[in-house]
Amino acid sequence: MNLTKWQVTFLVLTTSFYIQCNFDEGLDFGDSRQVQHGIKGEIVFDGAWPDNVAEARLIAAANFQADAGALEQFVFSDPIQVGVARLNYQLSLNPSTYEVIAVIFRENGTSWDISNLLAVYAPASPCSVFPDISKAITIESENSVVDGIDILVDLTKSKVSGSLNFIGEWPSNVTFAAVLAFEVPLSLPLIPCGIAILPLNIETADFKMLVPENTYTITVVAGKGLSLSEITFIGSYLVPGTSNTPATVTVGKNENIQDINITVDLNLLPKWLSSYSVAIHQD
Amino acid sequence: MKVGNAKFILPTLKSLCVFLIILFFICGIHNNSFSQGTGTITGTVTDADTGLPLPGVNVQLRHTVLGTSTSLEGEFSLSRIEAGSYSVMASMIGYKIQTIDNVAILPGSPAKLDFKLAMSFVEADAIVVTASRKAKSLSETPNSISIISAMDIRKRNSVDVRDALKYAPGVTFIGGQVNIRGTTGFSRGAGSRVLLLTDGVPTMPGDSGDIKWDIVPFTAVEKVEVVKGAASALYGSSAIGGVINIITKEPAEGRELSIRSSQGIYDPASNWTDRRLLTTQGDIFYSESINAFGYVLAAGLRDSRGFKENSQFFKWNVFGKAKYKFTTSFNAIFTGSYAYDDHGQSIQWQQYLGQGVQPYLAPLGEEKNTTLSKKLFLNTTLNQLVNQKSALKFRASYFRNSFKNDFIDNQDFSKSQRFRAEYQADIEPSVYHSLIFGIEGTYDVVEGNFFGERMALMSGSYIQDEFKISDRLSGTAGIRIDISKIFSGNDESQVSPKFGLIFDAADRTTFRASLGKGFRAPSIAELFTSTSASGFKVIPNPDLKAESSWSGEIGFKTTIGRNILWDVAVYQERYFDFINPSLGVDDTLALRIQFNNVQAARIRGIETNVASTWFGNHLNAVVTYIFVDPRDLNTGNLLSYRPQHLLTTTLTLKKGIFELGADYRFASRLKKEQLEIFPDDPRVATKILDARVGVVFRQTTLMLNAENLLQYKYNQVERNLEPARQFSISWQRDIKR
Repeated sequence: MNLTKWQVTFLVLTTSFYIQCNFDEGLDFGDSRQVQHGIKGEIVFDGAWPDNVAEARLIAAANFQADAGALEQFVFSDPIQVGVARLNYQLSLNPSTYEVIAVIFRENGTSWDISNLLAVYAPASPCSVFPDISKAITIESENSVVDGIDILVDLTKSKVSGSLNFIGEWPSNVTFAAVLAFEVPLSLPLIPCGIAILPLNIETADFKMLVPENTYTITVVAGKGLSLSEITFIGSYLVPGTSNTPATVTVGKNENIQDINITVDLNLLPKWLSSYSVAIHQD
Repeated sequence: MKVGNAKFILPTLKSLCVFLIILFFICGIHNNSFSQGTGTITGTVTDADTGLPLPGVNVQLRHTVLGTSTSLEGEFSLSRIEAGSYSVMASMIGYKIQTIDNVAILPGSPAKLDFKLAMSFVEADAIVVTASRKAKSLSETPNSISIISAMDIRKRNSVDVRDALKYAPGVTFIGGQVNIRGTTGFSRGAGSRVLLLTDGVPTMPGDSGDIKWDIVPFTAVEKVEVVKGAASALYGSSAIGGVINIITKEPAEGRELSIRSSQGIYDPASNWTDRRLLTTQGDIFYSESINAFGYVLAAGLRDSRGFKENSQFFKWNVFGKAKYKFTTSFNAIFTGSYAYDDHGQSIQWQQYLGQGVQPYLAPLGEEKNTTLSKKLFLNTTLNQLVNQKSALKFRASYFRNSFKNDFIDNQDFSKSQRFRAEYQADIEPSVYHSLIFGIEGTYDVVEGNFFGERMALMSGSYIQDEFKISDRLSGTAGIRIDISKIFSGNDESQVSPKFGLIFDAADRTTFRASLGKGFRAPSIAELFTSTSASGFKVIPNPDLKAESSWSGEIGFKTTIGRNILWDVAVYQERYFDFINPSLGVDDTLALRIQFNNVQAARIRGIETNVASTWFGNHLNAVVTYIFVDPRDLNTGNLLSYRPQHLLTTTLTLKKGIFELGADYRFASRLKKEQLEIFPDDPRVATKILDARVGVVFRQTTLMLNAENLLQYKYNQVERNLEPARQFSISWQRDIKR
């Protein structure tokens, strides 16, 4: 091999190496990564994380249709680190209007369950777990990031559970049913502090919900839409042995209240449930 | 699964095996008339440049089943050859094939032949055994085939065979799963469209149906052959996208000892740990022949702290092979291997909301998730030479695979056993035909909570004729029928025909075309896996059907000048009932993976490969480019986890005892639609440069390797960082006596 050939070889190798060196470094894991479209804000966790939390996530849903399979409609964030006290977050969301933004957790050994909503973004009240349609968040474009979506998560909430027994046939135009917990004494505007979304057209069901420390009346509601103006009471948890005396449930922190059993007589409802609106009005 | 079925099936299989063995020996009786009126060929094979004898050269009597290999002194002898005129071919990796024609054999008058093989980096031809289930030259097969030599494996500081295969033309790895021209994609460890053979015997576990690369220590590997395109006409299920055959070393003439040690360290680029991320490897190989008995022993140890949290592993494997020649026409080979693998497992890197990406860390709570797996492979091969025109082969093998997860949320385990028997006949009725046929049966038993208790039966029979139409045109036609029964699953039968043509257009230019049907029965993992871990939930699908394909290829190979070999192939694989993992959510929004039959899919593309040598073999270069167009024909979308552009280049510069090499791999960025879990995650192309410098002095090899030299950060599957830069130094000493 003469020198010229070596030079050619050297040139080939150094050129190849030079090309390599000018390549980028691949994935960028730096802090500078920003979402292009979505929401950002702060989540504050009040209280100690319960031991049964496997993971928690921020979720958001556009065009939310409330039924038992509701979770399929949500965009899930990356996991929230269990044990964290507060965090500033960014969540990438495609342009749309998001009625529900919430924090949900999954219990150890179980799957995701919409009954495990820890908090819902609801500027009206930190207690609220019911989406406030009028406060829906709109991502306008591919370059739109909505800031200030702050959520307070009360980790000391107690679990309230029980069973439901429905008598009679469901009105055909019911699209949403849920168990809600309202603080007593009732005051306007009515803001539910606990929610368990129910499947429709059922005869029996178990429910569970999370509520902060307080005293509540537990009610069953049904309606044709995801708004407090579109639902009506169809049953309540009653004082055992009575037929129409609402009971109150007092819960402390991190308690597990069971046997909240409710019977709903659907025969007593008007057949035109859709027009039987506004049992609860908010001004 | 009912126990009663097992009681019925096992005696049936045993009876079948006994019948095959009896048939084997009955056929061998012909051997008695084999030795009358025969002659011999003796000779030597030497290096054309140095004149030194070449041991281990394959010497074949063309158009017969006779063949042998040279001794340490480069000598060979072929006996009991019927009188006549023959062609004799000598071949060895790294050398040009040499054929001597018109060798006259007369009874009682030995012919003497001396081969002088010239070194050739650009191998236009070589002997392969996988495409036809018997030794054939590359120019006689209509398939695209790549060959990886033992040296290719050794010089890359490989942990297993997989590390060397990364640079084989047409072969890529996605999340650790092998792809030949984009066939498999990433199926999360369940099922493979590439069949792994060890010395021609399928070595796939009965449960997961994926490839276990550590079953053979790589010091025991002679070479690896990669056959591209559907090969189900010979090999049945799983060979739908290609075949990889690990060919282990034969017992050496005399004694041979190799000792190898390697130390490496990962670049602590992210400073995620204060520990030094060391890797340690050790290998030993010993081979000896004493008269008619020869054996090979090999063992390997691998210990790595991994380049990221919980990617550590501790592995060891042992391999043994014993060969005994009862007579010149009958020998038996016993092979056994065992592999132990204890490794950390993190399904994804750590990425918490509001805390950014921690690619080197495992999610909290998963830092100590580990999987322990053990594999045992046993095989017996009986070779009976009936006469110089026909030979019989009987194989019986056993593969046990077990694993146990020790996860924070998962303690799944599984144990599978695969019993397999095969009977093959090889007949060379004339110089115009080369016939092979056989039958085989496989029986799988699986137990554990991961897949449940399952059993599966599969049987197949095949026949293939390679025929000569004219001096320049030859063809292949074959067909295989498979019947599979998966208890609690579907019973299916498949017919897999195959056709091929090879046209020898000019002295060093050949055209090839092939068309074949392939199929793959779903693995037990794809059918029955039921588990959840790290937020994922795998759902069984007992209704999953076998997938099938028509695979076609047209290619040509030519040598330009004396130093450039160019190979081009255009291929298309049309799949029916394509099995694909689909992701979704169940009613409670658990992330769900279930294997389903996509109605139709198509993978087509072009592969071109240029190998060249310059400056008197001092500089060698290989460049391979592949374009892949993988489509789900129902949606028109690209199939997931299959890069469309693949480029690999290998440069090797040798001068005296020094060697300098560089390997570069490029795989284009996946499209958003090709990611199944996190389509919005940032994606990059794969651009990896490996480099090595070494000294080969007498019987000692010293290599310094740098893998991912430029510390390129990339992933192929979402949220799984691929290895960081690693420097290693390896030393090997070979002693032959």
